[in-house]
Amino acid sequence: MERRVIFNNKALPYVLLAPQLAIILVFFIWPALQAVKQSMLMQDPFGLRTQFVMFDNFIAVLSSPHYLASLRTTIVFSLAVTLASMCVGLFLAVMADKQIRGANIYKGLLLWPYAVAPAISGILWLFIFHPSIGFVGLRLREIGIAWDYKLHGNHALFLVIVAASWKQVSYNFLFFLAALQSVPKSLLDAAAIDGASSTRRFWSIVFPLISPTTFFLLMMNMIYALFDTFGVIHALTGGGPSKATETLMYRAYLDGVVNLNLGTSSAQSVILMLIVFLLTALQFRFVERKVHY
Amino acid sequence: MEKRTLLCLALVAILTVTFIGMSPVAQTTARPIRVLINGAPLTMEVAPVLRTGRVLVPMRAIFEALGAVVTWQDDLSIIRATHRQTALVLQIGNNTAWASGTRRRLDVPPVLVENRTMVPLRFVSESLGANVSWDEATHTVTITHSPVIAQPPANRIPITFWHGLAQPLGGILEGIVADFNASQNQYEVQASFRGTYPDTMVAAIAAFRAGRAPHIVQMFEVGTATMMAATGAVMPVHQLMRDTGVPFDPNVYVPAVRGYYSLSDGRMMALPFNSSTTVMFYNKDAFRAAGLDPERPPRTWAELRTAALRIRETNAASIGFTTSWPTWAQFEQFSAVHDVPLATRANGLDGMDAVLAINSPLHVRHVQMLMDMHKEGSFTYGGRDAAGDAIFVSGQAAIIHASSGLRARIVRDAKFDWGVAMLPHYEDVRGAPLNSIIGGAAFWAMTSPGRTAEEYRGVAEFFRFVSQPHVAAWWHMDTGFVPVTFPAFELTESLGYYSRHVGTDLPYRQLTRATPTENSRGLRLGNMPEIRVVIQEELESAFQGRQTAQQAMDNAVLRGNAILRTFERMNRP
Repeated sequence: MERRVIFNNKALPYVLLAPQLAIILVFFIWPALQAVKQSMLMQDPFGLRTQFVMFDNFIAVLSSPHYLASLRTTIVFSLAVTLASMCVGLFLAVMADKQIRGANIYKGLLLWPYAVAPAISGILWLFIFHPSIGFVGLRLREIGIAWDYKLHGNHALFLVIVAASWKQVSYNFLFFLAALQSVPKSLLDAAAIDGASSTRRFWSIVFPLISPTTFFLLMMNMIYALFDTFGVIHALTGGGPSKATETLMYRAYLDGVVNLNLGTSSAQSVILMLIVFLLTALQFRFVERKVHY
Repeated sequence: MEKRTLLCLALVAILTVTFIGMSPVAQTTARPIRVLINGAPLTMEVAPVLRTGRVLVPMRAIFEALGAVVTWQDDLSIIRATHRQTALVLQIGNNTAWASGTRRRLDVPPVLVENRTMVPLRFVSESLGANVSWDEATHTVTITHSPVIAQPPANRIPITFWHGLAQPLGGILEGIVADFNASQNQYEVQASFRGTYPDTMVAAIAAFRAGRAPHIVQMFEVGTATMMAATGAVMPVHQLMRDTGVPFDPNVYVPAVRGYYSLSDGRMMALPFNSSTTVMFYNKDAFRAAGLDPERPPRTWAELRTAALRIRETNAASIGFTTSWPTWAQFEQFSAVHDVPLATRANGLDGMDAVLAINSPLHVRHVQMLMDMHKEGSFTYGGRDAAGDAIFVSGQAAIIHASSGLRARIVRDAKFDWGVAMLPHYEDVRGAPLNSIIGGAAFWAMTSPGRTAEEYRGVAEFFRFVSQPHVAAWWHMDTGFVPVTFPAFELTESLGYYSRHVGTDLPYRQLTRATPTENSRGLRLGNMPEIRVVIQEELESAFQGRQTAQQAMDNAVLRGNAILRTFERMNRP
């Protein structure tokens, strides 16, 4: 017989949900609606003169070749950061999961980058790669590579990818490690007895079993790369040189906060919102099917 | 008995005032001089002295007795004393003194006696509002003054002031604010640091939209167009001063400074405060190592290129020439110095419909030359904004175009012999070199719902205070920003500051070396910070070899004009 707790009070569920709903309304839905409204207005910075311009802001944004270039930068950047940080995170987790001396120390140390504020991590990487004062930057120039991320777009993009990935590796490492530890030992032992090599055991047993975590991390990393890397880019390159590291997010910031053009900035936020909807839908539709739970 | 003494004293006082004022008394040091302040004898570590009819007393004793705050500046032997609204500036051995911004001639300058600074008693006391009388018979000076009655601070009207100057500049600015607060007891200016200039601007705009704008905000020069377009959000200085009746003369400001913050009809919109300009710093050690004359910095671009190439060839420095603020130095200043427009409509001063003009043959030629220098290795791109500063200070770059404000950092950090010179020009350009234009920031008065006339009066009083010669002069000497008014320059010069600190007057001289034309008055282009970035981006892409100089400038004009049109549309009345 099924046991169920039944509350007769019809209002109670709503009351219990209310705080959460209120937070979502105030901090997510309402600002989002404001952005939609602002995206159709043209306003001076002080808000003294407002005109309704319909889709002019969207047209201005989408017809700009720089916006499309920025979209391309964002795609390259997000994919690279996701791939790099997940691969490194997984590799480190597999290594740390082994029976080695001082494993806990490694685990502890590998978590540190996550505790570093984005701006600080940006400055740390700047000290390493600065062409005139950075340790690596100077060595690169000594061996004949004209390293200068302030002048070469590819160098700058590489640098922000490295810095942004480095920060996210810890997060991935933590989740992968937890997932690896939940893989049943019996399965691995059975496979080992059947003579499967460690590589084979990893790809045939471990990897499929941790796929829910991988899927979760894929989403989290994409969202991180799209929205959470502002601090790193801001501290390292400020979007330059020549827009080489200007992601969609950074561009929305530049237009809204630096250039004080709230209309086009809001239009970009709305576009970003749509991109996130699309991305999440696609991921659930196609990627999740292949995931073994 | 009492009455008679008083009468006698008064008579003697009247007589001696005229007597002392007119004819110098022969030096008589034998008889001691007594000084009475409000009837009580003044105690002094060193006895007063008489020099050609003037009584001099130790400065600490007299200033403290009169309730003035005194500071001593050692390197130039300057005495600064403030007492309520009055500020005195004196210098040992200097016959020129300044009392509340007016130049005064002393027939006996301050002197050193037994290592104590002695100041002329009558000048000091009378300037601080006291009455002085001399009794020849008893050799007694009698001073009467009314002590300060401080009003409790609770009654003061608070005036909020947001600024964008980090330390140490912010601290010096807040010192000026503290001086203002001490000078009167009606208003209390509350200064607070709001981050960089763009941060401060964003904060002020957000506060205005929320109905809580600060009374005063410091805004960088490229934000001028945005502020001017915000009719209703700002209170123009000319209107502020007229409405409140606070005496203020905008004509004391240097034209290159005044023009930047005034309407084309001359009405001043913002109060200029910290202004700088671009100058050329060079490493004299590197010049010597390259066999160049360290006392002959390049005057023209041709000379600069030769020198930079020489420095690279002899490996005297790893970078020949670099620039900070690429747009400000190589376009805004460049256009002013060569008398070519950066944009039409007098660089936007005459209207919001201006278009950029930086794809002119001269601009393209300049970019082409920088590209050629980049290719041959005599020029290295130092990054955006002030990023280039560090590579000069560290000794890597031998020549840099940078803000005159960089001087303080060079003085502090540079471990080499250096010099400062005016910006170079192309010799074949007619009319060049003109004056350069300013950078830096100004104070804007902001409006807000419910702001009272009395609050505006407080703002006006503060503006009047900072425009006084001694305040502007000290800000200039303490920070390295240029003196923004003529009297501030004169004051600084009269103290011998420029002969002691060689080259500190160079930015001022460069700003005032010509009568500004409509190409060198300044600029007022909407969203100028964004246009600066666009120009830097196009330059970067040209230095990477991805486009020609002409293409870079055409693109910059195209993209810049789009920004200008958006601004025009946003601010359409």
